[in-house]
Amino acid sequence: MLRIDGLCAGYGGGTVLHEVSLDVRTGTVQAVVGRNGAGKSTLVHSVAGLVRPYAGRIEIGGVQVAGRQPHRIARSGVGLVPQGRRVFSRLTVAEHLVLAAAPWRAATPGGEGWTVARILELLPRLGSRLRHRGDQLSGGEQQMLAIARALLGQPRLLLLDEPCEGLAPDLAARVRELVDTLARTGLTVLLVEQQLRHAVEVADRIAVLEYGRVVYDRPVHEVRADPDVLAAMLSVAAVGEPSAPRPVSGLWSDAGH
Amino acid sequence: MAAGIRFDPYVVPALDGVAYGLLVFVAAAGLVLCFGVAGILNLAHGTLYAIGGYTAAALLDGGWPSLALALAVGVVAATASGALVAGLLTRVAARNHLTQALLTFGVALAGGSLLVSAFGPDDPPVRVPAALDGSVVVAGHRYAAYRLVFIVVAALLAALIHLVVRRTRAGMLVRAAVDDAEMVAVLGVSPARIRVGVLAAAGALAGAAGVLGAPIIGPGPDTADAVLLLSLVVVVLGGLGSMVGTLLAALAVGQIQTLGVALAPSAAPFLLFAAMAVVLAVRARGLATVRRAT
Repeated sequence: MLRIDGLCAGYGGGTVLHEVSLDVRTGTVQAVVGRNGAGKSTLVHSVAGLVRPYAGRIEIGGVQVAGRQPHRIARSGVGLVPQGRRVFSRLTVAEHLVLAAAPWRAATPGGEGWTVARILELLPRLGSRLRHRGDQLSGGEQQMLAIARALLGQPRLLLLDEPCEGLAPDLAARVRELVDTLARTGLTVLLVEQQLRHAVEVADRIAVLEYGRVVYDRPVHEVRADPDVLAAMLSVAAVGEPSAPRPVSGLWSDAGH
Repeated sequence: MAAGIRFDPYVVPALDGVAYGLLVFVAAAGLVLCFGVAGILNLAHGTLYAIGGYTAAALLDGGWPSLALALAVGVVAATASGALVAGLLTRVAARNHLTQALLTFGVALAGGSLLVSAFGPDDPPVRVPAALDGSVVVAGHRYAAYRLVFIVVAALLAALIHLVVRRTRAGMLVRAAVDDAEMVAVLGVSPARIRVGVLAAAGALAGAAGVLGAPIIGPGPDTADAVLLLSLVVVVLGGLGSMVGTLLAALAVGQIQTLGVALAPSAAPFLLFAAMAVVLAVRARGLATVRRAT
């Protein structure tokens, strides 16, 4: 679904990513972990078209998209849940859903058929916040909204940039469960995470970025076999948030928030 | 009663201020959209108003059909001109405002010269519909019927702008783009389309203001500059990207230009800019309480 080959990208002439290559298969979750400044967000932005690569190829479903404008890449079936959520502060939840669920999106090739009704079934909490503005939502609700907004674009490939960042442990666990749920629908996911432990919970494959280079890329079962070795070898901190309880049934239900 | 007598001479200037302010609002609303949504500093905006004004002068013959025709032609011409400016800006849209300002200033100069070539160097007369050519009595004073009707029409236009921005998908896009244009692009909406749409809509508003406001701020060689200056003052006072702030600022400008001048005639040449300087010194964000389009 997503093939990145020899990608070099950065800002203002400076190079952040150095010949990054990844191959994300359809219906799998590829996690990319690394410390701050490793180039994780630059990678996601390059795929989404927000950063113009200096060199290399990005293929989505076999189509080369590197250098295309963001709206063209979005229309080719790429949804982005950006770091920091970036919901529209002056738009209500309902307006976000209306804006994201444009009629033309239903015709996106390979679309998974996400509708507002299906979104609200998956994320019932949003249903009770329809009249609230983006800046009136909690961090968890904003994350739900950012994910809903991306899903209504009928993506074949979902880019999640640190979706658990800034969330309380229980909410972060729910986000991971949601990612797991989405992956079971056949959606291909590129998940950027700072916490190796979080990535291991949901990913099929894990890559590590250090100083803009992929220094590790293995199936998750190999990582699970000896995560401490990976953490020690690559200086990726496997520490952070305390263990979170597994969420109860009903993702993002009113009672659960 | 005594207070009523004291304020009585200022009823007409105050009404004039409302009409003037609403006219400036309709004209400046487009500039706010351009700057707040598309990030474009369009110095040709006054020329779009002038296109509407000259259209009114050329087509109005004192009848209602000519007013409808002038409105249609003026709006279409200014809309097309706005879209043309958007097309010219394609390559410099992402650059700094100085580049945009230079390009649109060039367009304004060229456009102004073309209008003067077509309509002559003198201010052309504008004939309002005969039914509105007289005056009506307001609070014991005779007041131009056209201006009174204009206040109602401009208030309706302002309400329409509010409804479009608040209730339509296009309005949602506008507000979202003011907030985070990059995320709007990530939703699959072309920034170029938004830019053309916004500049065309700004042209339509300026054209409508030019036609309807021609009896108040009439067409002439200096009209484009005057309207652009007033619009810029309103945009700065209202807070960039805020439609509510724009309305408040436009009404304030209207009162300063009419009631203020009536109260302090000797201060007339600098009253408007002194007010702008004071507002900026006290409240740099402008009169609006929010920074984004509302």
